[in-house]
Amino acid sequence: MTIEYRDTEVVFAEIVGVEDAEVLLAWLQERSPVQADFSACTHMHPANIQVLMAAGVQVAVWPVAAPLECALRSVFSAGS
Amino acid sequence: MNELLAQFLSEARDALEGIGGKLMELERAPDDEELMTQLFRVVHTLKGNSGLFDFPEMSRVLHAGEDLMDAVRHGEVRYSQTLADRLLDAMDFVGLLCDGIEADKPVSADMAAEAVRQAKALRALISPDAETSAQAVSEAGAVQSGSVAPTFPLAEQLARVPEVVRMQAWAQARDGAPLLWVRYVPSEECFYQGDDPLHQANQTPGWLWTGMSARAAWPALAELDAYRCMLDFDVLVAADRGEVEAHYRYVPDQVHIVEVPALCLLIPQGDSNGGPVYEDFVEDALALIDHQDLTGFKRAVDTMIQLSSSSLWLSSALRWMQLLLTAAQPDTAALRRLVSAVNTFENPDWTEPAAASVAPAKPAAPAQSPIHNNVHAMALKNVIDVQREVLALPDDAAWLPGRIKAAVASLSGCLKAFGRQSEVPALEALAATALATQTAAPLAAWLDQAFPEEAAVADVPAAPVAPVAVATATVAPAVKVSATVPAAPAPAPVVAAVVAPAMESEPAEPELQEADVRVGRRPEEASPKSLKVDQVKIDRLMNLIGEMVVAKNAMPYLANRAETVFGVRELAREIKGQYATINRISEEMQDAIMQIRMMPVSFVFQRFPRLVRDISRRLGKQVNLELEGQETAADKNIIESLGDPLVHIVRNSLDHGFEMPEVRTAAGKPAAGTLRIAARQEADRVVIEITDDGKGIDAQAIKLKAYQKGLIDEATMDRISDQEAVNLVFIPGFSTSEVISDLSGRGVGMDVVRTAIEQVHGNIVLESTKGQGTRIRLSLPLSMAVTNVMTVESNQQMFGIPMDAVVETVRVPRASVRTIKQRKATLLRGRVVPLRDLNAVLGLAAPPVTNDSDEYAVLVVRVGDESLGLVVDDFHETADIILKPLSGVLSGLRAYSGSALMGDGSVLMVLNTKEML
Repeated sequence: MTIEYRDTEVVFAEIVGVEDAEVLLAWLQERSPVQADFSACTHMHPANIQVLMAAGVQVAVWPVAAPLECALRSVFSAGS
Repeated sequence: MNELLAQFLSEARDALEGIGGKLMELERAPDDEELMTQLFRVVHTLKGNSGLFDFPEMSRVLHAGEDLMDAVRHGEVRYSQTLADRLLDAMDFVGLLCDGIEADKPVSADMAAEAVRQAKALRALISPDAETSAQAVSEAGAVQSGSVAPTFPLAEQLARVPEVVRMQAWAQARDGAPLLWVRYVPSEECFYQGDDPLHQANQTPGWLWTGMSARAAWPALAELDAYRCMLDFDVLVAADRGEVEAHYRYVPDQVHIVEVPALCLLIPQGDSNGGPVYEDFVEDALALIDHQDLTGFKRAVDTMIQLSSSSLWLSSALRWMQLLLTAAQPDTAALRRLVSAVNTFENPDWTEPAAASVAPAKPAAPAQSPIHNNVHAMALKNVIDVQREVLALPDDAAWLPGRIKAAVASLSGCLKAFGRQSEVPALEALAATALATQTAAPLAAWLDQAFPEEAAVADVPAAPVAPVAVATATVAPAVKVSATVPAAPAPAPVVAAVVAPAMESEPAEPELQEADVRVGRRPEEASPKSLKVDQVKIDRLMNLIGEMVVAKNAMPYLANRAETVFGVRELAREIKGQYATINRISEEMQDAIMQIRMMPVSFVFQRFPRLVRDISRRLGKQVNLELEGQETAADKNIIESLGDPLVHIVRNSLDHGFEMPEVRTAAGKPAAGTLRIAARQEADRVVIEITDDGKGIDAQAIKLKAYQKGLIDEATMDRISDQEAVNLVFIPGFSTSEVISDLSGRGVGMDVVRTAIEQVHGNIVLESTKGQGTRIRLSLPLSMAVTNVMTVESNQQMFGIPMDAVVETVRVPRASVRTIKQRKATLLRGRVVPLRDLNAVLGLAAPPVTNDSDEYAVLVVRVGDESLGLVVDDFHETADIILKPLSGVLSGLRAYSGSALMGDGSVLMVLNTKEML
């Protein structure tokens, strides 16, 4: 699984593709606030990123992969 | 080139021609839905095919064209002349791209920019908000040419980049890497097309940093469309612009690229606590810099940084100072400004000249885009580049003075704008010299010397690939066009009908049979099962058959030897029998291959609708073009050699033949003139008539002009008929600009036209009636691969004379030869025919030989409109030969049109009567 949905957290791993965006959007609509764990994520399709942005998700753990981290840092703030 | 690509190119060219043709038809019937649908389909197919290859530029333009046609088809956009113009332009551009692909040339940045411009121009016609699109066009064009004034504040954007990345970028720039800021705004639909813009951004060559930003405020989650891209991407890279442009070559219209001056990265960030307590440091540091004590300064900075918390604005500034000091030649001006900024905690404006920071208390200038200066430099570079290109154009144009003046005006403007007024007088002096000497070279040299940096970075755009006119290659001297077909510059495949030679047909009456076959087996009458063959393959087959004909011709000699030398009559007879069979087969083969080489004149004609449309629109004339007999076929070489002369004639007719609509109406003619180009076959010749109902040629004016120019004497002027006078336009030298202005201008290059036609053994007749129009009739042989010659003997040597020049052969008694003014002549059926000895013409000392009845053998040949008797020693048989042009040093001998190998292995020299006499 590249996305693991928990109570108030969503954990991303490896490469999150464009097809996951719809499910992610549906899941986020029912919850708030949510934190995201990108630690094991290497790349995420921007369709998912804009869903996370629109939902006001906060980042719990930043990705290790530098390009993704730097892109995410430009739009997300860290969680509490 | 792989076969798929070759096939694509060949089909693309066909499709482009088809598109051009259909557009012309649409112009006459703009409401024809069927035609519109056909046009859409062709564009659609071409676009689809281009998608098979990696030609984003071509696909982009075609895609836009397809969308436009789709809109027209659905009645959203009305067909208009502008629309046709744009589509034709776009298709020309696609043609250029095809040429480039064929020549294996990579697409230049200019071509890519042009593709974007073309696509935008086409889309502008679809969008109701054409103005916005037009703006986008200029904007996109500007991006590519590197002169864009960015639509976003670079300083703000750079401030988003973490300090550590900026420092890394600065270090790379210090080591010579170019820094670029890429703003990538993907289209909203890009996710549907399978794009991943973040991946694209992160994969940018020389990647340092990617930032994202939302295009608009996010809607409520319930209304969010996850698959509509709402993100913009900013990328900082250390790479060459070309590499980055190549990376984004599929989406050049979605990318803005600007250069990042390294100093602009120096943005101290952090908590500005502290304030005036640092005044001492600032004072000391400035003093150290003034005394060039950079070691001391570095110590001071290092100490200060240890005392400060790393999150402070001051620490950030100090870190930048440390970094600046790592350069081999630290930028003291920048250091001074950075130090001064500590007093105010305002980031220095790096676009301001360094001198401004000498006043330490007030370093900050009014807020201004940091790349302001950079934009100026780019603008200057662009202006200089353009002038350099302008000056590099050939000097032979009539508008050279205007060009020089324009360049000088631009350059002096640049000099003034950049505070270099002092150089203006020198420039003007140079301009005067350039004007006097009619050459732009001194100015170009001055430009290189005055703007060396711009020269260093100037990227000279690759010249667009000019479309190769296939026909030009064949309008070579007569000797070129013969049995051995010169390889065409572009592999223009001919459509070859699958011809099954009729082996069972009778060998008798070869000429009749040949005519039968010619009439009966046109490619267009063959089954639609046609195949495309490379011309080279046909040429090879042609050459092989030529060799076979020569080999075959050796058999009668063999039979003769068998009988006379070896005395075996029986064998001789059998060889002769076998010869008849082989002869028949070879003739069939020859004919079959000739059929393959036949192509319809429509190949040449199809360019005229566009040509006539363009020229008449430009001249403001109204001309209807009528094309007839497009299916008339002739040998490929003949058809191709027709191209240039016909274009010349049509241009002349449009330019000088037709009157302006109001003049026509005043003369009682319809406002729109009619230009008719008709082709038909007459016996073994193809006849093309170009008729216009323009103002015709004034024969009296021509006579007068010819007399004034000394081309004819007074007696001739009075004697010659109007028709003969009109033909004076063919005299070389008659076509001068003076003539164009005074007369209808038919004289322009008509001698060239005639020469080109005569080189393929054709002739041209011009008839004109003043006020009513002009008719030009071209007559050309259907084929020219096999030449029928008459062989004659002179001084024990054999010569060939093409049969189409031969009028008759006569025996003239010695007594009938008279001498008129030291020239020999004789009377033939009431006409005086001048006689020339072939020996004398060829420089042979031997006198002509008479036969037993003391008669000369006289071969009457046609030279132009005159007949001339050539006195030879004896006549021999006629022969079909494969005429080979003379090559090497012999090619300069214009008295011979070529040579041929005879059956007995001897070489027959074929005379060129036009040149010889």
